[in-house]
Amino acid sequence: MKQISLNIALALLIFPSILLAQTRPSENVSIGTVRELNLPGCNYLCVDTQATLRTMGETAKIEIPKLIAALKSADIQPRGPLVFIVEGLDADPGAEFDLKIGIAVDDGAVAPEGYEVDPLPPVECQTVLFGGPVTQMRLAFQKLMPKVRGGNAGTASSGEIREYFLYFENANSPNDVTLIAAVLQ
Amino acid sequence: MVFSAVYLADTFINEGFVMVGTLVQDENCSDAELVVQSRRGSREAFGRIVRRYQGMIAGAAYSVCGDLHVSEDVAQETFLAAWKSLSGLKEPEKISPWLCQIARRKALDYQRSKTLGKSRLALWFQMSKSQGTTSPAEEALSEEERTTLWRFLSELPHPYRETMVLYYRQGQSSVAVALAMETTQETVRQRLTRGRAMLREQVAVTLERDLVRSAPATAFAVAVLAALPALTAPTAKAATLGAAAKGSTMLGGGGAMVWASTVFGGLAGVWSGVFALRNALRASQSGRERRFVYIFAGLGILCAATWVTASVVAERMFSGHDFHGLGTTSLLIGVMIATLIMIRVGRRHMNEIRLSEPSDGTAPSSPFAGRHRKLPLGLIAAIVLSGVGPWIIFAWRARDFASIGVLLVLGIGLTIVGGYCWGGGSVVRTRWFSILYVPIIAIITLCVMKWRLNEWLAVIYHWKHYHPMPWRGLLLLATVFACGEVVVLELVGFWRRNPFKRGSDGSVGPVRRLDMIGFNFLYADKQVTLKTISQIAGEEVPKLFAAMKAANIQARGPVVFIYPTMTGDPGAVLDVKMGIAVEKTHAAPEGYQVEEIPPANCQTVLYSGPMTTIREAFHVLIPALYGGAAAPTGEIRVYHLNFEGTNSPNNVMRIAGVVKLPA
Repeated sequence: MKQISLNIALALLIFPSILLAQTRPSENVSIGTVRELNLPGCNYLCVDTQATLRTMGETAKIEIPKLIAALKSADIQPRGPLVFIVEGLDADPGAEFDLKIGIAVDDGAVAPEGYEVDPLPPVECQTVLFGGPVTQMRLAFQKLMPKVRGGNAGTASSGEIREYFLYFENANSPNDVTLIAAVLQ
Repeated sequence: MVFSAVYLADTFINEGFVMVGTLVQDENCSDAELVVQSRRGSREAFGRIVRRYQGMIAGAAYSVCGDLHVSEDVAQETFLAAWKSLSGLKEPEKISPWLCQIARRKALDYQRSKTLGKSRLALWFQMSKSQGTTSPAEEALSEEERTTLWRFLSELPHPYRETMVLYYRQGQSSVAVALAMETTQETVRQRLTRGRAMLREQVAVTLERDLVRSAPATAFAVAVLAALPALTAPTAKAATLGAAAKGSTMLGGGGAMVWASTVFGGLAGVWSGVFALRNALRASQSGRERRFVYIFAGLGILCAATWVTASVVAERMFSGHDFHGLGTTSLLIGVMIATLIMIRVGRRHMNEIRLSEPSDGTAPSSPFAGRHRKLPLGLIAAIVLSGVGPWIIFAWRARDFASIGVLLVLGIGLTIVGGYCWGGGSVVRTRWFSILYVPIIAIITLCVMKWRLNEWLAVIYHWKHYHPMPWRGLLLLATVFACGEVVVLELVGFWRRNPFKRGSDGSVGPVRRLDMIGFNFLYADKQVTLKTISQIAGEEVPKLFAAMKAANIQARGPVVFIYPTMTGDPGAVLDVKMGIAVEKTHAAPEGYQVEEIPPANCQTVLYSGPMTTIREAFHVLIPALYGGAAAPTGEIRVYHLNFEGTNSPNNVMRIAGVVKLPA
């Protein structure tokens, strides 16, 4: 009888709460699930540069307006989002790596001086969709990188990382949306 | 009764109550010398051995069988057996452990058969009794005292009980007890200390229980009432009835605590049910939705009733069977799984209604308005409390304050960690907490059950002996408990699971409230249904780009579809503005319009995957949109941040439901 009465108490406590399920707290950032995707290739107008994790933001601030100005001056229509391609990224914030900043353009677009139009090959990637300030993008990397390192049999990271800036207002905007892709071999 | 028990136990503990007799120290001969003489046939020498150890041997038997008369019979049997087999004793100086061993064996034999062969000495003893001679035990203790004494001693584990009995029977000589028990003096002293502590605890528990039981009951009040004069003032009558009621409640003793818990739990459950129902009704915005809320609430009550019925049926069906625990556990787990399925299906259906049913104009509002920051911590505290709360109640009832302290520290720690994880803005940490919570609570549960629960139950329900729970039972109970925790977490929507079975199918992020900036919007008004939208978008978007190229208009943002009022009915015709953010100065090409879209506060969700499964994103967004503090305007914006084709998994969309902030 005692057991049954305790069960009644438990039942009365738990089950009416079913309807409370609709309330959830707001998140500062959105990090989707890690997904393996085949990203299509394209031509892109880019500039080669070098940066460290510390100087990447500053480099982007200088190079992106120049790239947009070059697009305008050459009357080239962008055909996709702004892309950062990083190779040789190291956890050391002071270590230098290769950084390509570019934007997808039409086939046959002629590169303005100081830029080049490179074919960006289709790749198989582990990707994660990040919504939130670019300054907090490390949270998405924290989720993505363990999956890349411990990936499926037969796939290994090539060391190349692409960041597709699908929506960008400013570096601190929570509205920004970035697709981060770790290219697989 | 209570006071005599306390007095007896206290005397036993503090002063060494000598039950039968004390060690006779009048002889100077050693045990070995007496054994040697006895072997030669000296009855006098053997008689000195009997006098020296009669108390100890009777004590050893008593600590096994718990009956003073029987223990004396067993002691007599022991000495007779010893006399016959004295030649078999290899070390004459160790006669006391040898005798104790024989006594224990014979007492156990008695326990098994409950009969003793009537020996000549026993016959003599019976004859002596019948002649009016009383045993030393009878001289020392009354029947009630003997019962009370064994009641306390029987609560002790056997080694402690035997050590204490032998110690006080053997003139408080730890040396003699150590020799008889073939152990060290240090061990004897430790057992004495612990045994005394256990006895004190027993006395305290008995005192509390017997005082509660001995309180005047209903009959007492009735008797008083009957003795009162016929004319009684109404106020006095009320007071008397109140006292009677109190008496009847007290009659339950330990059961009253259980019923108090039940009433408290029930009231809390009813309160949360009413609160939840009110919240759901206030958040619903159509008659159909409100009807479903009532149906869902009814299903919740049905689940509660099923749970109770299942526990009653399990108790009656499996009681006494070997598979009692397994059967009950399986049945309850089954009910929990059914409940989880019901919750998921119900939620999904609710979302479908919200998508398909237009608002009837009643603006939804939430009782959580303005309390968003406090809510996560409150929820986590409630979740953690549901995990450690039951154990705290048990520990409180068993007056185990050290365990209460440990559980409180663990609970508060887990709440702080949860608050940090959930409120810190890191989805990764939040998920880690979600993943770790159930195993942590399961481990706490296992530890509590293994090391403390038996003792708590022994105190609460006055179990005579500890029944250590087997690991299989522990794991089953821990599984039930973990399942309960999963239900609680599911109820509060703690787990934000990806609705897609495979990672490559799609991804839906968490709901976030964002201030979306305004933009200049070049668009075409279209009418679509959910079935035709992909096809029409496939035709219209290329046309839009062509028109922009022709008019030399630069895009300044993504393609956006704005639905002023959206429903989830696949056949319903929807108005949609299909367009793109452009520079402000441009005039609209033919067939298009330009409009300034104002900034808006939105509940948003990021979706990545084919257009065909975008419904999953709505299932995540809609509950937050309609259950939050801000009222939705009904306008939905879909920002196509990356579009490669209707079925491409690479598509990325932000779905934003515009809301009005509370004034």
